[in-house]
Amino acid sequence: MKTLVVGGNDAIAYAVSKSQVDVVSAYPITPQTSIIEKIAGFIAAGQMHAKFIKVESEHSAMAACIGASAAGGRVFTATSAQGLLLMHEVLHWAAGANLPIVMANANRALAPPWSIWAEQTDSLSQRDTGWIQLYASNSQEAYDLVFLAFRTAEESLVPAMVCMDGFLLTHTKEPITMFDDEIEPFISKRTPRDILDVSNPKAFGSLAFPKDYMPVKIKQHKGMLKALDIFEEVAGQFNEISDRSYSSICQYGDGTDVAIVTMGSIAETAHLAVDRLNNEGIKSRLVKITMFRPFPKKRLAEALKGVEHVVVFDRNISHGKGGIIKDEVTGALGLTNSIGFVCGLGGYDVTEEDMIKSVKGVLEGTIKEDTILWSEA
Amino acid sequence: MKEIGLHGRGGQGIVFSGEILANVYFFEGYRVLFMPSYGAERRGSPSNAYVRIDKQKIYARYAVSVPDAVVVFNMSLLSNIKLKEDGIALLNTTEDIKKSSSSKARIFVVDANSIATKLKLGTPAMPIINTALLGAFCKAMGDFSFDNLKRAIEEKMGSRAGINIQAAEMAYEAVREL
Amino acid sequence: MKRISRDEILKPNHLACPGCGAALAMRLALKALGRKTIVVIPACCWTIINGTWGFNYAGVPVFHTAFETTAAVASGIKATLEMQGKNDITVMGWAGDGGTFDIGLQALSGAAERNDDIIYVCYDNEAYMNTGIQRSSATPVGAATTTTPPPFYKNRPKKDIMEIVEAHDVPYIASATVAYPQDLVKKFEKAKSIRGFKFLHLFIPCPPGHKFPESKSIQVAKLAVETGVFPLYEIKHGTYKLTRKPRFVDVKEYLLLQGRFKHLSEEEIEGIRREIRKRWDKLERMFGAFG
Repeated sequence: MKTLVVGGNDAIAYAVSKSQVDVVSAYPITPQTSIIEKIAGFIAAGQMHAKFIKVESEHSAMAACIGASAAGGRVFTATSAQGLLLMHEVLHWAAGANLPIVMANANRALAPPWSIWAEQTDSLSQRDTGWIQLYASNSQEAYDLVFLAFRTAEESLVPAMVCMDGFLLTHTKEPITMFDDEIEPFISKRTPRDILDVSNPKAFGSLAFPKDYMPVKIKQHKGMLKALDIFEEVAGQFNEISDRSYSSICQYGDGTDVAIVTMGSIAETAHLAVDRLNNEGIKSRLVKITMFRPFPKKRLAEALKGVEHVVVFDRNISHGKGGIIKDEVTGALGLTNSIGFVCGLGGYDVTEEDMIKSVKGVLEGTIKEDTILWSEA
Repeated sequence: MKEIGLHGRGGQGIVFSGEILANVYFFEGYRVLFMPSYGAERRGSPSNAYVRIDKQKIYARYAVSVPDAVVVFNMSLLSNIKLKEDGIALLNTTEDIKKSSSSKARIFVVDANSIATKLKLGTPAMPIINTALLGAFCKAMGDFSFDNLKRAIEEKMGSRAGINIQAAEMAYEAVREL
Repeated sequence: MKRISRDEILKPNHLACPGCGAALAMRLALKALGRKTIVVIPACCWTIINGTWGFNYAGVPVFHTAFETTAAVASGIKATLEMQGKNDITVMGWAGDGGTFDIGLQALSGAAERNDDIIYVCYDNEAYMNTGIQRSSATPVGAATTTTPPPFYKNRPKKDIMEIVEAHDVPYIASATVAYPQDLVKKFEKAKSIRGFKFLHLFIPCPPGHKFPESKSIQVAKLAVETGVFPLYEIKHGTYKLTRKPRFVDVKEYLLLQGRFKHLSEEEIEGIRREIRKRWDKLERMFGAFG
């Protein structure tokens, strides 16, 4: 293992280069580009043995991944925002076809207006596509989650996306501990599955009458629910070789006055908020969501048990409704004590000061409803 | 935690110098976060990069607003640059700058352009001044060793390291505090 | 006399309409390519012909895929096979005209430009037949479809898909049809033997879509060729070769057989004759250029 100062995108590329990937098919889009450039460089230098299909759009990128995965290959792609949206139809296809594709998504705000900065609406608006969704709060997590994604995806037969905030994580450089050969036994594990096989010819995805369609979809849903436990299991195995722990929900602190719930790089900033709140005598905890799909209802309920106020920070928006994380957490757990703050859209900065003010507003009773963190000043 | 801002124009190697600096502090045993600032950049437009350093893990994931120290590659940007009251500024200039007596900041000046030109780094129109400035910054900050700067330059620049280290050395000697 | 394999890979009882040219085309294609073939099928008639959930009449592995993705998915499959060293398996995209000329054109162009090692087959029945006979950019001038009902029948010329693919500089492009099975089989075998991107354009007679009796499929396809409406030729690395010289039977004979053309006036038929001559003038120059 070695620790080097690298950018989030580079870390993803390093992880992919160590994941025994067969096929990469990708189309460039800011701020993902350095992932695929680095992968292309690794392949050219002989450090990575994979085919890189330089497709002509993101829709084709995912389509080519589907083909490559259906033939039994371990497959990777990366995209962001508009590219992810363009793939929407085929995201459903990949999941419905039980293909364990892994994709890195650089979270970026959606046009119009054009933006290249961090926001999670792109991936969150794909939450119904049947993909596992993992969110990194720093680049070490982004690196590690790639390995966890491949293993979890393959064992559950559900494709997985590793999401990381654009620029805040993709382009920020920080010390990241990376594997040499230690990862090999972990990443070499392959799970056999039904593939296109000339010695056993089958048709995949044929027209299904209602009586055939529904059981297929029920199986898909159940398979995804199983991924919750599979992820924890795989994370346990990963912990043995890395000393780093992962879980669908990560709790920091055990205060019961308030829990800050959030996802992505703002969870790091929230860490500072929780520390300061605790120093001021406000007993708080941070509940960071690492796996958003499948939705970790049980673990989330445990993490929020006994907490008086739940404050959710959403770096996303579902227009006409509000913050998506707040919505889902509140609905799944039947909360009556949650308030959501939509913040940081288009990459707008969110500081711990912003979070502390928001939390205090809730605790003092001056903020009683979901709010958008924005000051015209 | 300390926050450092690097300010210049596109093409001057701001981002690259930030990467080297991040590595230097990493070798010194700090945790680091290097954040280039992205927008509609092109040659000549303002380019900024920030480095955060701390002995513990850095959690702040938002832009640096008022750094503790700045390196100013191009004086035309001075009015847009923020600095803490008692911060450190390293200015790339040949101008005869006078420091205000009420200022608590420490101001350092060095003519990185002529050092780069002398060593034929870059072109006279676009000299490569980033490594020289890092050498001067080493003297100004006093919180990292020149050896670690050398190591970072070597690791990042390979065959071109030699002449860049020379530039850093020259600037280290030439920099003076106002 | 070309010997065609007796191995029946396409299974009986598939769901094609009686007289379907597309089913016959697949049967012949598979005889040429053999069982080590993987087929990618987008939304099209063959989505149904191959059977519903639980069935696979093609007899080889089939991947059903989204409408616009045929070439991209095929490229992906081939990439994995290459990584696995399985170089004796043919990957064939089998798309209709809609999924090729229209919505699938981008992916087709991408795969052709990359020279991905796949056989892309456009089985062209000249309209979106599976969804009920709507016009595509492959629908010929004069044809009535549900979206081009007379008097507003299709009045823009059919895209020249062979030329479009040729503009990508790929090793092998060929046209064929079910009325000339030996020619079709030979062309599939030829495609199989070449590495790189291969494109096959098949004219497919469609009784319900073209509106003729089921028993006349072969006759319609034959006339398409013999009138010059559907030239049979190859483009090998840019060299054009005519593979069957038509007798240039009057196109009226071809048009009269099909209900989709029955509204055409004498002038309009004359217009079609002119377009055939124009096309052949151009083609003959290309054939001649290469001796």
